[in-house]
Amino acid sequence: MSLEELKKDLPYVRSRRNAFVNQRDDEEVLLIIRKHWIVDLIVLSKFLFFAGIPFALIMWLESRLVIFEAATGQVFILIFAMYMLFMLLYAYVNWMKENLDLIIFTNQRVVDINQNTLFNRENAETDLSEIQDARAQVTGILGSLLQYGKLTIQTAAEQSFFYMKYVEHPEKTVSWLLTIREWVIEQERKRTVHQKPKPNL
Amino acid sequence: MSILIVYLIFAAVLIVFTLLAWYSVHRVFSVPHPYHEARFVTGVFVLLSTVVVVWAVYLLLEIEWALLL
Repeated sequence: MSLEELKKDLPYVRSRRNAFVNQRDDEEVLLIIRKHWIVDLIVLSKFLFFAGIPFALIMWLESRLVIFEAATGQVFILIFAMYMLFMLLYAYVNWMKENLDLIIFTNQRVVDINQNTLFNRENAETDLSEIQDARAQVTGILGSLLQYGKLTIQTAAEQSFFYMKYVEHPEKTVSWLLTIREWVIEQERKRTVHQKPKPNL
Repeated sequence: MSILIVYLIFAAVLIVFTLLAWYSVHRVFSVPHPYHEARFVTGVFVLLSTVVVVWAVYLLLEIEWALLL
């Protein structure tokens, strides 16, 4: 199987070159594993819940006919504005954390990017040939209905693995990973055959 | 005097917010080809933040104006 044939068997990738930081010039992205849109919905629900608290407070105060003096009103507006700004930032950073968690498969390696918090991120990478096993786990009613779950990719190094929650289509992803693995094995076999020394006669 | 302190705190919070927001947007767009939803979510975030700040400043100016009159 050639690289072009392999690409046809995998889902569409928007940009194969210059797609992530530190991508090599001769490297092409084969597959990007991202999280399901359910994480966007979770972040949005959290934001709506926390942003709704001050509105509920205002309605409660209004129902009790509490009237502020001008100065108190000013302080209240400022506190409300600050709270809303930081709720917006909190939601945006949370969304960013989920959105920037990626496992990228190129024709040379696997790159795992983990954005833990705003100022904390981890990058790990390994050769494609190091991949030993891939496991998908779909749990719960929502997971089964919307097709998302956990993905674990075991590498040859002891106790080393890539792990991601809320992966979209985890079962399909595992089959794509196996296709990539087969391609890698085939490439290695070809390389070994070409490098085989001729016997001395 | 006390309201002046509150205004100063608000200004400081706005500066911190702007710095953190700028860094977050920078992180999201650190991927050379960000996905369309990244642009959309960032746009919504910037728009809503601007609306909150403009709304707060407008209400404060209105109260100040009423106090002056």
